Amino acid sequence: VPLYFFHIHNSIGFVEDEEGRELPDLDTARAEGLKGVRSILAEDVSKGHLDLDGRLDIADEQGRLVLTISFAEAVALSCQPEPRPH
Amino acid sequence: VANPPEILEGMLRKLERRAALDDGDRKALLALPYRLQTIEPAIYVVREGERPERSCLIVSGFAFRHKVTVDGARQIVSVHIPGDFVDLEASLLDVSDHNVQALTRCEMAFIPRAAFQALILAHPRIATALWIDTLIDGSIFREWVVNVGRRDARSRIAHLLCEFARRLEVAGLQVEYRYELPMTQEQLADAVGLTPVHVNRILQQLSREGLIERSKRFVAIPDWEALRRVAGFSETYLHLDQARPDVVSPA
Repeated sequence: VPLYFFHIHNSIGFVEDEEGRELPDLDTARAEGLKGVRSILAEDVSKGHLDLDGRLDIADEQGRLVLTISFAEAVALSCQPEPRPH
Repeated sequence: VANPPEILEGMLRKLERRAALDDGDRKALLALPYRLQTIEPAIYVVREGERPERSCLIVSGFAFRHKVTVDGARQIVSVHIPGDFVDLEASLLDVSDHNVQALTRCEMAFIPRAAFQALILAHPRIATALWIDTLIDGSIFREWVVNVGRRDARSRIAHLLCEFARRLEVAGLQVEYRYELPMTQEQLADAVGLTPVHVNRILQQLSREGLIERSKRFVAIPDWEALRRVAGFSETYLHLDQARPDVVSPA
């Protein structure tokens, strides 16, 4: 079973994952990564701020970067006012 | 085949902190029939829906209770340490309502349900001690509901770390606020209702703040008061001194 590491880069700095998780494939790793990012963002929002500048780097057992999820792509934002008909 | 009584001594020590026992009670407890078994990590010892025939006592190692939602999300509802019964309910309830899995390699003593029932009827002080033990389990479950329901992520994890520190200390398994926490980020996440990525971030935040020190699976708490404040931890719910002589106990 492949081992994936989830490293976070955001405003509080770099959080290295030293433990990693065994997951069946990269798709599962991506889904787990998204859940993780969303849970961090959800707690930020509950405290009244939201920093979408961070990213989650997923690395494989050899330390190679296999996927990056930017915090911004983890949530669908809809904050634009409806366009007005002219 | 006679079982060596020392296997049950951890349980006896723990029950003596629950209620005052006499020599006859001690003898009866140590004479309980049991089957000792080594359980590998992740192996189930109880499955939800089963009809239990025995109760399990942890002699060494760690185990946890959990439930799973229809979507497959797991919630760990308690973590157990040596000397703990992981399913004392099974001595009286007919169906298991949750799962129990080994967290680390465990030695477990399996005690037949009939033996427990006979013991309870013959020894009221033991019955009281076992009742108190399940009441304290219930108290810890209540605190965990508060933990996952109402504390923020940082306090939640801090609270879990404080609880383990005190329980392991009382069981003689922790010195100077340093102990082994044999849980992965994923298991910690399932115990506090967060994700592993989030748990890792909080653990590193607590480390940076100097509230904990971690190396591998070991946790040290350099400033107990500071971590206690972050957690809002008050150990009343653990009822650690229930059998103290100045506390009302059954005659």
